[in-house]
Amino acid sequence: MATTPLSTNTHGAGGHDDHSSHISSTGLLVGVLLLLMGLMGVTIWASFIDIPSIGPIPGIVMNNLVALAIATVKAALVIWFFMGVRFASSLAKIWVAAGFLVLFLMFGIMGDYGTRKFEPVQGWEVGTPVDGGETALPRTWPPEGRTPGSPAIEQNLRPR
Amino acid sequence: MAAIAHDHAHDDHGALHHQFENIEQQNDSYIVGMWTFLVTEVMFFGALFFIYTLYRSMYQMDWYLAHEELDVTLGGINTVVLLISSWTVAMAVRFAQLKNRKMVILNLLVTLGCAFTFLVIKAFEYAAKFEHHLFPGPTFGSVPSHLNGANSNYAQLFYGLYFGMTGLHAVHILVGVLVISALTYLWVRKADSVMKDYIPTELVGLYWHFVDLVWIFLFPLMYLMPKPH
Repeated sequence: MATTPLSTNTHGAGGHDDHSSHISSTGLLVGVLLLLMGLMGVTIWASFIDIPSIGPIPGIVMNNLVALAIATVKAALVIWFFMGVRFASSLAKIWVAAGFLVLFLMFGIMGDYGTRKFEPVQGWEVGTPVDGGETALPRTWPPEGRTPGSPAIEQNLRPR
Repeated sequence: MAAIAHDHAHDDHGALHHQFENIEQQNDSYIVGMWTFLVTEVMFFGALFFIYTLYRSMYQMDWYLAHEELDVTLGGINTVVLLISSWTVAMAVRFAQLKNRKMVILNLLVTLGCAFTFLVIKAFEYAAKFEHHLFPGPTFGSVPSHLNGANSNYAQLFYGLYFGMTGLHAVHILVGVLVISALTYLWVRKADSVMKDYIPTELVGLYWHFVDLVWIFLFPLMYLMPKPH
């Protein structure tokens, strides 16, 4: 066993004679399905409720947090029970967790967008007529201003 | 039932290939390999979810107004359909471990039925959006009543991501239909590759659960936006 780095699961430590896979019972799978359906109902219901703000957190953010929390619980149920990660080896578990951790870290990029308005040197977003800030929209505004000779072209705004 | 499960459980794996020490290591390699693929898929969809988060935080009200055109009932039905299909795949894997061929095939067929139902409902939803000029393009928003007062360009951004993300998800459903069909065919033909080893069924199941997983997040984000308050 010392030369088998992948077989770190304690369940299968018995070797060849022991059973290598674990079988979920029908009752458990049905229970998880019903739980998922129930959570879907809760998330639909919660989306139509204006959750009040709690402390400095605005109500709309609370609504979003509740929706994402429910979705995360549902995802965890699917991963843990339906995808059988609970029976998987420690290596597979770390592998799965690392994947979602990197996803979580990627959202740190939001911090970059949050600081753009503090930039000492003005970026390309200067002069966007809509709200004066950065936008993903073409700099010609309104859209019909894209034709040659329009004010947008004369102001040297980037065409779409 | 549990006793039966245990009796059959010891011989549900395929032949041990020479490069592996034992069957646990072999099965673990398959599972970790499949999860490696799924993690790349998580990152693939993750980038789109990031774009969604960024723009929704910037244009909350316009996106809320634009999203009101989506049909929560149809989206909800599709969620139920996908959850059921996820369950039938989990049952198929269970019966593959128990070597109950008929039940595996039955569960895979129900899964395929759910996949088609999902795609048909999605097609009706897409058709309505095309009809209302809500597909990003030159005529986007030319029927203003369907914008619900949202800024046309911000609404277009929302629908760009709506079609992009649900479309990519639908492509995954299509691939799933192909893979599950192939798996069902192998079970019908009593192929050794699936009959003697539950792992192929398990790996297809993992893929299908992932498709369900993406929808679990897409449904509340696209269809169930709370009203800014």
